[in-house]
Amino acid sequence: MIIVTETRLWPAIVLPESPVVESTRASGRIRRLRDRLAASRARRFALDAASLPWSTLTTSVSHSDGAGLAVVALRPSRIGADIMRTARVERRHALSIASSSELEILERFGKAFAPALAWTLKEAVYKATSRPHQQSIGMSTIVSCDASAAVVRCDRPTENCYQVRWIVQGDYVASWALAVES
Amino acid sequence: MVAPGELGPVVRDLIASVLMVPVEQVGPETALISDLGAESIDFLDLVFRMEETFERKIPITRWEQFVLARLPDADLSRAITTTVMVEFAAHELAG
Repeated sequence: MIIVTETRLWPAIVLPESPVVESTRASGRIRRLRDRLAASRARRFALDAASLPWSTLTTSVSHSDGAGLAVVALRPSRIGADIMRTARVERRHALSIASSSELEILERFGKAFAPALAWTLKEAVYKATSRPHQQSIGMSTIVSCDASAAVVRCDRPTENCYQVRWIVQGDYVASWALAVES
Repeated sequence: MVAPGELGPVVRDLIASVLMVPVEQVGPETALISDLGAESIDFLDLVFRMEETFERKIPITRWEQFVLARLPDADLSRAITTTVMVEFAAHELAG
């Protein structure tokens, strides 16, 4: 049984002014600077939306090809955020971190963005785990998914389940995870 | 098959190709994340390209395990350099 904690979340997404395609995709430092700026703007929007002292809040940010995602929550929530340009994630990427049965769960909502959805669900959980660099992005299982949220179980005995909200915005898929009591 | 002495230039070319930067920007101590803007999915693409180049299967978990062992507690945005990628390639070829 999953009990969602009474934590409020404030997500914010910043999208690029014009669509990004492979031929116009920025690279190197320019991409990094552009992406970090988008993530920084998203973080500011999310903090403004929360309207609470920053010292009481925890944040997670992500960026991808000109877009930024930030999620703010009350401390000591464990949260993780991830955004990806849909076309950036191919089926082979997703199958490196998810099983074909997990992908099948997600394909009910759109075959085109299922790989990006799998990636962002798992990356968001990976970032929310207490020690993200000591485990693999693939060390979680997508248990269920509906049109706006998924339950993802971390495959480590000491880790919780995560409720992961997801949304498709333009050419991007964004997910943010919140640890829940199990 | 890539000879051990050719590994550096081959990996450098792979990094330049995947991250879409001129090969001249890829030096031995260049940090792939902080200097070249690499994201986590780019490392998966690098592993795919190594698989094609070296003609052997390389599960992404092997890269993750290599990073954990080689760079424990490091700031990965600065610690994953071209040299680290070359070491990983050498590790895979030796295995």
